[in-house]
Amino acid sequence: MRTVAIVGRGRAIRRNAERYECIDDVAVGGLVTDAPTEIPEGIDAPAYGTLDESLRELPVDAVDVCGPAAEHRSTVRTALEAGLSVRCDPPLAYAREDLDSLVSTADASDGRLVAASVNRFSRLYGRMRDHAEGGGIGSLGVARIKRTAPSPDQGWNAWYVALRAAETPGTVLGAVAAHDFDVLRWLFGPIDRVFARAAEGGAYDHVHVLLRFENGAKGQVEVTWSDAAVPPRVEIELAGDHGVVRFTEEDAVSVRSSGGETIDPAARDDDCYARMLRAFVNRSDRAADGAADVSAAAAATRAVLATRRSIAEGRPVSIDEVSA
Amino acid sequence: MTTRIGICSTAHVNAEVYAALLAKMPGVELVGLSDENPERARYRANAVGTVPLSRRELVRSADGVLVCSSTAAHGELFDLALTNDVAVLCEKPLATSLAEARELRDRCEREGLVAGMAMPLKFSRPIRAAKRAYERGDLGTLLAISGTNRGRMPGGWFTDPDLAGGGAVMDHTDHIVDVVHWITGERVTEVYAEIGTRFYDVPVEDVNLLSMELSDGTSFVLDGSWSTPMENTFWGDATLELIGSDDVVTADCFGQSYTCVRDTGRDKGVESVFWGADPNNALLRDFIGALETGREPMTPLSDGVKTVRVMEAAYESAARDEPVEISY
Repeated sequence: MRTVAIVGRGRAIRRNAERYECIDDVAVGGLVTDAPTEIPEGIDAPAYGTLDESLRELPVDAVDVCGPAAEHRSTVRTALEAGLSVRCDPPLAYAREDLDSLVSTADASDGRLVAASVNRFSRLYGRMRDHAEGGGIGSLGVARIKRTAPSPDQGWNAWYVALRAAETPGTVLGAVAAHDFDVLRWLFGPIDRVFARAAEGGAYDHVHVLLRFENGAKGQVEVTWSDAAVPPRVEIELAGDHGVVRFTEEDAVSVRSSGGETIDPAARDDDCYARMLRAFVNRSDRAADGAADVSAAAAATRAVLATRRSIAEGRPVSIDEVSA
Repeated sequence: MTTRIGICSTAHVNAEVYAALLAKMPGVELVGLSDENPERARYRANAVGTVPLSRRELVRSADGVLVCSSTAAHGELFDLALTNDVAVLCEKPLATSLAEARELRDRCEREGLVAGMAMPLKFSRPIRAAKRAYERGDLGTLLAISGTNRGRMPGGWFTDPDLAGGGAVMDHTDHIVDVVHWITGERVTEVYAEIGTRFYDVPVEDVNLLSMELSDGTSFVLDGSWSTPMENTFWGDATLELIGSDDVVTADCFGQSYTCVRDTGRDKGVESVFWGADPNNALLRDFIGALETGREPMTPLSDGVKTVRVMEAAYESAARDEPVEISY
């Protein structure tokens, strides 16, 4: 039996704990949280204030961080220094020095750092990648991902709900876009340059980022974040010289109740989270090609760093400028 | 009273759309159409029950003309219209260069010619609903704007840099920038462009991604690429999203559509059919109202000059790899 320690807060802990229950030969040995009062009912595992504490008392094999490494720096470092497998969300850092230091730690560690976006494990993105790689759309011209991040209602893509609980709005935009940068790199190769503008006020924050890939293709990532009760929305469009792949949130609705509520048909043991966590604990990252590749996670993070710098300085920023 | 309208050139794809609407419009006589290609003029005139005329004959027999030529030919058609004091509704963009756009505007203003730009999106009901929401204050403080105006690569003179002045930037920047100027009362004051040729083997850009800022600091992103595949079920799109501090409003100008699938016939395949109110109808009525009363059309040439200014800045940004500030 392998033992996982889950790091994070309330709802995110529950989401992952419920999925580990469905994986053979894996047990949640402990929870590490700075908000013990938010631990959901029904999870039979002791809670600790720090990962160090849990490691002293538990035989932990893997550490599952529910949130970006950027928000859990010392925990990720502790796990790597203990030679453990660590999973976390992108981005790895919000500053270049922190990123370089974390990558060095990961390189020197006997452990393993997995920080790919959960989207790589979604069937939707997987099928889109098959299309892109199989030449179905030809050479990429423009890739677009446009998100409206939701209120605390659970939506079809609930992953940013957990982030919202742990992040300030400004960093959420960077963190949310990190998933898109990771996926776009995974689909179309390295990002070369970004230009971004951000705006915030009242119940809404917004960022748009124009991308140039090394292969000459262009991209646009747009994130709208809201405190208001807006439904989550994702639009993806990958336009190539032979055709387009297009997705809107309505395309994801396959079950609807008479009251108009949509019902997520994904099984808890086989949704993108379950697939991601299973790949992590079984070290079978093949399913998402290179999800455990630290340099890929670092590259997605560098796009976040470049975005933040572009917003601050009002100019295009190349990835080289934020690289070691 | 019947108002006599002519169509000067059918080089622009919208000429046929306008011809069909004018042919059915009460109180309007479509006196004819002219074209550089006599064959095409005859064919298109027959299709709507009007006659092919030379452009000189056309301006002499019309109260107003729709200028639907290549952009580079706008100047000579304005010359004819000015000489004959015939009102003009001009396809966008106004000119291939800012200098020429300003010159056309100045000449028309000096001579008091009723002249405007063919900007149908100001009459699009979804756009008008978004404008009302903005004016009611539903959105709170405007923070950001996101627009799209993609389309199929139109081919022909649209991809000739001499005749069009460029590619997707010239073709698909105008509409959304113009409605943003109109709705907000602000102006684009900075442009950063990511442009390139990725979809077709053409000598102009087919990717048109613009990151802009308005005079009040609102951020504004626009995708006006020719990224719509030829086999797409609709020609393209026109959408506008206004993100405010209190709410977000999204307008999809052609969202009111249904799907038609046919197994047989000339039009077999899948098609999206727009069933909403056609903004071109209202555009033409506004122009006719303007020429009948002598008032300014909904989109005066001075607005067309502003959008050409944005396009010029987009090319400058792409050449310099940096954002470009705009003064008007």
